[in-house]
Amino acid sequence: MSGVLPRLERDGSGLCWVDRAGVVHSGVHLVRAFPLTAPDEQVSVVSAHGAELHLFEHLAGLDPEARALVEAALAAREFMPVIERVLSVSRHWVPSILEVQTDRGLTQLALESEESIRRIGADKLLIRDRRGICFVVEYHSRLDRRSKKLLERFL
Amino acid sequence: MDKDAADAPDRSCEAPQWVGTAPVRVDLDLDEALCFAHSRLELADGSLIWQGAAGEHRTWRVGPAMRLAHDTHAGAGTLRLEDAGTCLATWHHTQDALAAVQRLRDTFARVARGEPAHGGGDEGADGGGAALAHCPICRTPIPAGQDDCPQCDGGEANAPSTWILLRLWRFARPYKRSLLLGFLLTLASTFATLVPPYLTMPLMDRVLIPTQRGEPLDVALATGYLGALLGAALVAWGLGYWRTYILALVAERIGADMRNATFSHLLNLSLEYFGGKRTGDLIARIGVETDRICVFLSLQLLDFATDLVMITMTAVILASIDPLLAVATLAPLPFIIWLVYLVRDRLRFGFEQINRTWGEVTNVLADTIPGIRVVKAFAQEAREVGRFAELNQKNLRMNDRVNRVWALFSPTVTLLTEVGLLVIWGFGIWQVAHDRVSIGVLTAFLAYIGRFFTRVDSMSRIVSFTQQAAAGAKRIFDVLDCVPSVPPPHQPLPLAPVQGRIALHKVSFQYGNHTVLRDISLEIAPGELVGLIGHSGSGKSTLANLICRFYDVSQGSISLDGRDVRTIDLAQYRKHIGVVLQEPFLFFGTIAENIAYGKPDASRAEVIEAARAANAHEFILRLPFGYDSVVGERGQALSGGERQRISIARALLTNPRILILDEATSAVDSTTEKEIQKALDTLVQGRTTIAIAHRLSTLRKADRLVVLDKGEIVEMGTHDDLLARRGAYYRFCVNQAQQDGAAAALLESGA
Repeated sequence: MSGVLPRLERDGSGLCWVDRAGVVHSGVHLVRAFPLTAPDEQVSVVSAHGAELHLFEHLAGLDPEARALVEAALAAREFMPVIERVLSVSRHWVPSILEVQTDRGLTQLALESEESIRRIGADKLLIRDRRGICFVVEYHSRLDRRSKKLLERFL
Repeated sequence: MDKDAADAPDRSCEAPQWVGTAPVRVDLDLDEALCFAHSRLELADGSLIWQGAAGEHRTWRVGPAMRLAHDTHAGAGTLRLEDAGTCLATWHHTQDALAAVQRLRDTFARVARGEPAHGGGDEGADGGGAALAHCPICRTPIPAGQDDCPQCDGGEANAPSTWILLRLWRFARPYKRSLLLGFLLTLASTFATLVPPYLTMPLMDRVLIPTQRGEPLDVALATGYLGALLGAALVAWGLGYWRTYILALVAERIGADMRNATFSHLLNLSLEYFGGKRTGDLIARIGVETDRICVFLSLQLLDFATDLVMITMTAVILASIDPLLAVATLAPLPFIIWLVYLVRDRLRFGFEQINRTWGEVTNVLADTIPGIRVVKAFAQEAREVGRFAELNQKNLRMNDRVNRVWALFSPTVTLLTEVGLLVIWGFGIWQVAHDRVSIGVLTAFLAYIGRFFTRVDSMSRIVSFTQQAAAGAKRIFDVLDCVPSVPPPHQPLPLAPVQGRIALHKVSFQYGNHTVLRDISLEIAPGELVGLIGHSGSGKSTLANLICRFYDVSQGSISLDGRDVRTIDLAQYRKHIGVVLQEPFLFFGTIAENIAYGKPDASRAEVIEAARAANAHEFILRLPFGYDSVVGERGQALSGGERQRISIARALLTNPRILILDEATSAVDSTTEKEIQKALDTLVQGRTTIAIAHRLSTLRKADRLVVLDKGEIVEMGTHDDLLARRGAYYRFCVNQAQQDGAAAALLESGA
């Protein structure tokens, strides 16, 4: 009975979790406990009812196959475009519309207030736009001069 | 009244000199009908003597059954002489005589007991009127080391002395080298700016006038003078830049040091201090006042120094060129000084008013913004706006008043400058006509005097700035001079591994003159869960606060594992105490940061562990950024129960030996209460816990219940014991059961 190795599996509707007792919980999803400060640590397997079934301490500790599955599942749920360049701003004070090049393509970011920009650590920025989408600037210091200059006014 | 005011300090000076049979005197200032009248009460040679204003007197021999009863009401004190319960006489007095009356009463009690009138050694220190300063307004003795009267904060009524600015030296000392350099640069740059007018003299006399007379232009000489003018201007520019930069740098640093010092001192003050202060006022002190002082030091004081140097140098140069003309030039100066003196007082008053109004404006903001839900719930937006507008209006009025004086002041100085110029012109022309001075000298004088009077004008402004800065400095030093009422131990001994045994021995606590706790003795064994029960105001929270050492006991002692808590380092002591309050406070920051507040180096796994134990993990995972989600000042996005569970996780993470739950579940509904209760059950395991609760159900697991009433322990025992005793606890239970019954009945009637 208890010999079953708990594991994550793909099933018809999405993901399922097989626990130690061999019970299959379908419709589970993965949640990062620290999506911003430590995305690859403490990833929780949460049941459809919101109860935690398992917690992966470190994704690095998983075997490659399981890790690929976890990362694919996480990627499917996450939508945080990474800003690569700031092309233009409608004006230098809020509210303003920023034309940005992200890893998911070109888009407009409507910035409502300075509080929508949040610093994480020394170099990371999180910018929430009017639609509630969170844009990420991974390395603020590594942006090109023009982008940095445009962003600077709002920081 | 005046006579009284002048006399009073004298008498308090006499007090310490009485020895043995020396009389104790009290000057009473109210008569039997509570009208203002003087009389004197004296205790000498075992007799109490009353002497009226008209010279009549009565004497009582002090007997063993006699006592002086004293109480105060509505600002008037009443002293009653009783003999075995019968009242022999009654006197009244105001607050002014309070200290003396208390001394008299104590001495009387000693005499009645047959002891010597002069008590123990500490009496001298207590009555040492000469050593103690008295507040000029309410006459309360001011504790040593404090400027302000603890009773009325009397300093506010006095104009802050300008000398307080000298105390800023404490912050300036680390920068004295830079300051010296800055001062030397000031001298040098000022000197450089005074060179050009001096050069106009030879330029006029040796170049222009000879050329006008038809002599050939001496190009070399003219170029030389012009070059020197340019050079002087450049040197003045360079030195001025260097000086301004250095001094501004130093001033900013002084400002920053001052802010840090004030804030760190403020945070180390005990809760008692914060209880009596308004947030806005404190914010204004640390923010605005330090900034104002900073601006004063970096700009205004600098300008003032430059002006002073400039005026002195100008005066010296003028006198060296032509003493007589110099005297004529400087003639309007005394008049300007007199003018400055005249407006100073008006301005000072005005600026103080403005500062205070400004503090009130900040107070409205600091009140209204955190209380926004109450404001909105009662639809009082318009009133708050009105209150704000009214204060702004007051601010405007004050500003207008100051500006009326100010607006007149500047043009007056300008007028005087013009008059001064006129005098020079007239006197100069006359002198030139009589060939006493050259045209060049006159030109130089005119060039100098233009600068001179602009300097006088700007120097006169320093008056108001100084007053403002002095007012600011005073408010800063008010905070810095305040001594924490929970003093750190002189030689804290290291704390051995804590067992968690808490013992209260005859603890009393007074808040002001109101006794909150009286003679509480209680032993709590390690790991025991003690529930505190009582009506609000019975002293439960105060008891918890005393155990946390937010306050110190007035009498008695509290010990941890047999050691008086006052001998333990505060920070170390509190590390062993976890507190969960009724209204959980979350700081602006992520949830992870909030949970790890007491242990910032906790690992992520530990944070999750604590959250899980507090039953908070799963709801945190549901938030968009999990543990990285930001919660605001008042944790807007989270419900009360969620915030409470985060605060429980916070207490759990530090793994304290002692836990204080102050109504941790009273602010939430019963479903949430159950969830919190689950979290609390994990929390209390193996820890000494003191739980305060309204709802008796939350104390069902308590090992012992302590029932408090009016600051005293009335009952103590287990739930069953106390029920059987049918006392206060029983009544509590019945009350609550009735309420629950009413709720049940409501349910039934609904069904």
